[in-house]
Amino acid sequence: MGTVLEVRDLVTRFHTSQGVVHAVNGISYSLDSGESLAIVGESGSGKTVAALSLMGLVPPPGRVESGEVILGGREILGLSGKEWRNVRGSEISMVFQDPMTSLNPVLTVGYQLTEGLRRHMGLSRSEARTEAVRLVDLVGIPNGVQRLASYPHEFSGGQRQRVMIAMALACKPAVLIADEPTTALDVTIQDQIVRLMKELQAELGMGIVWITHDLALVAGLADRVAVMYAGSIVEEATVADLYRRARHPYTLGLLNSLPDGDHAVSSRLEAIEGRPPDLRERFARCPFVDRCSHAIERCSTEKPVLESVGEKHTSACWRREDL
Amino acid sequence: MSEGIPVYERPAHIPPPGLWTRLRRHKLAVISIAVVALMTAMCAAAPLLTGYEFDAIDLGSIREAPSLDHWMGTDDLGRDLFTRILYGGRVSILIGVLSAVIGTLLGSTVGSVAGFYGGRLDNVLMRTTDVAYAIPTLPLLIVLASYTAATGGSMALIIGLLSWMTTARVVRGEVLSIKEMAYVEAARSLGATDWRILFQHILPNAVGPIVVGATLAVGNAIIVESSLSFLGLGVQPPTPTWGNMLMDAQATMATKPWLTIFPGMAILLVVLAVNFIGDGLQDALDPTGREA
Repeated sequence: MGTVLEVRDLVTRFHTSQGVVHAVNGISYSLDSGESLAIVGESGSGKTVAALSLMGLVPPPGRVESGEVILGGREILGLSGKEWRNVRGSEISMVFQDPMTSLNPVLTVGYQLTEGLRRHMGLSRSEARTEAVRLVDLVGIPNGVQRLASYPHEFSGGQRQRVMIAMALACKPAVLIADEPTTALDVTIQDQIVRLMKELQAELGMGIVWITHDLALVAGLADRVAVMYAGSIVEEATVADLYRRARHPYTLGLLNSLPDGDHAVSSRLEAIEGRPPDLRERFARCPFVDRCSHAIERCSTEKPVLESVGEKHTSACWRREDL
Repeated sequence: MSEGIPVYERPAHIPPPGLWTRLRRHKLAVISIAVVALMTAMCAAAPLLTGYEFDAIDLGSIREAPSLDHWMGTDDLGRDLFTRILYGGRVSILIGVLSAVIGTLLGSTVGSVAGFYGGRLDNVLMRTTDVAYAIPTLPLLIVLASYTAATGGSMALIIGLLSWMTTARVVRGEVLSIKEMAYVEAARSLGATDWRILFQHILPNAVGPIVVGATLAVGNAIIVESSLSFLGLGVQPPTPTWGNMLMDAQATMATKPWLTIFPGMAILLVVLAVNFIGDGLQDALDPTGREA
C-alpha cells in the first residue's frame, strides 16, 4: 500500500488583532491508503485547523504559513483557487462534526448528493441520480429513490451523518478527513457510524484521518495515533503501543483520565491539572511544562522535538526514556 | 446495517411536497393569487369589459353616483370611473410589480455580494448604499421625473432604482450569518465554486426576508407613484393611474365618496393580496413546513 498523504512541517497561524495565534506549529505525518490515523487532542489543540489546512479551508485571518502537503504525489498547498476546488471533494474530502447543521435545510438530499458527482465526475443529471441511489444504499439508507427527494429535516441525526458520509465518498477520494463525525450522535449511533466507515474503508480503500478528542474511541477505529498538544504532535505510535506504553506525560494523563471498565466505581478519574497554554505564545519551552509532573529544568528552556522511542513510535519529551 | 433505526418512510402515494403543494395549503395566498390574477386580467382586457373610453369626457354627466350605466360613477369630467380604474390598473400594477422586481434584484445582488465577499468590496458597496439612502428620494424623483417622459415603464425604473437600499442591507445581514453555517463549509469542502455557494446554498436560505421586502415594495411603489402624480410629476393625464385618480378625488372626498373609495380599494386590494402572497411564499419556500 502506497502513501497517499504526506504532511511535512505544516504551520498555520491566525493573524488576529490580539496577536498571532500559533494554531499549528510544524506537524508532520503520513498516511497510507487504506490506513486510519487518529489525531487526538483536546479543544484548541489545533487538530481541526490542521485538518482544514489540508483542505485549503482555513478561515481568515488564518493562513497556512509554510509546510508541504503531498496528496497522491502532488504538492497541493500552492494550488490556485480553481485547482483547489477540483481537489476538494474528489481527491480529499471531509465529514464534519455536526450532521444537524452540515446539510442545507432548503435543498433536497438528492440535490446535495448529486452536486459533487456532476461537478467532479462530469455525470449527467440522471447518471448522478442513479449513482446517488447506489451511494445512499451503500451507507445503509433504505428506499433510496424516495429518500433522495426528501429534505434534511426528514432524516434522523444518524441518517444525516450517513448522508454526509455518502457525500464525502461520492467521488471516491483517496483521503477522507473525519472531524469528530460521531461527537454529536448518541452512543449507539456512534457505534453504527464508526462501523459503517470502517466497512466503507475496507471496500473503497481510502485513507482516513480521524480527528477526535475521545481517546477511548480511537482504540476501535485507528491503526496509528498522533497526539496533538498546543499545535504540535507530541507523540505518535500504533494504537497498541500507545495503550501499552505511552511515552509522553500528556498522553499518560489522557489515558489516566479515561474511565476504566474494571474499577470504574471505586477509583476517581484523574484529571490533568491546569489549563492548555495560550497559543499566542511562540514556544521556546515544552508547551506542557506547566502541567507536567515529570518536568525537569530543561523543559522550561528548550522545546523538545519528536524523536524515536521505538519502532514507529515517537515522542516529544526530554524525559521520554524515563517514562 | 441499518436494522433497528426507525426510518420515516413517506407513503408511496404522497408525492414529495414541492413549492406549489406547500403554497396551496396557504388558503389566503391562493385566494390572493386569484385576486391579483383576476385584477390583472381585467385590466389587460379593459376594452372588452367596458363600452367607454378612459378619456371620453361627458360634461352632461359629471360626478354621478354609481348606477347601472356607470358602475362606479363618473368623475368631475364625466369620465366613467370603472373604465378609468381598469386602465389605471394597467399602469399601477405595472409600476408596482416592475419596480419591486428591479429594486429586489438590485438590492439582493448588492447585499449578497457585499456580505459574501466582505472586506473592501463590502465597504465600497455598503457605503454606496448609505449614500443612496441619504439622497432625499422625493426631490430626486421630482428632478428625474421632469427630465424623463413619465410613462409607466420609466416610472417603474426610477422608483425601482431608488428603492433597493433596504433590501441590500437586509440581504447582506442574512448572508453574513448564513455563510458561517456548517453546510456552507461542507459545500466548500466538496469543491463548490463561490457562485454556486452563494446562489444555491446561501440565497435560498435568505429568501424569506427578500420576499417580504419585495411584497412591501409593490405597495410602496404604487403609493410613491400616487405622490408623484399628486405633484403633477407622475404619469400624465389623461392616462389614469390609481394614484392620480385618488389625488383628483381629494377635493370631493366628503361629498362624492365613490371617487375616493374605488381607486383606494383597488390599491388596498392589490397591496394586501401581494402581501398575503409574500406571506404564503415565505412559508412555502421553507421545506421544513414551519409556519413563520
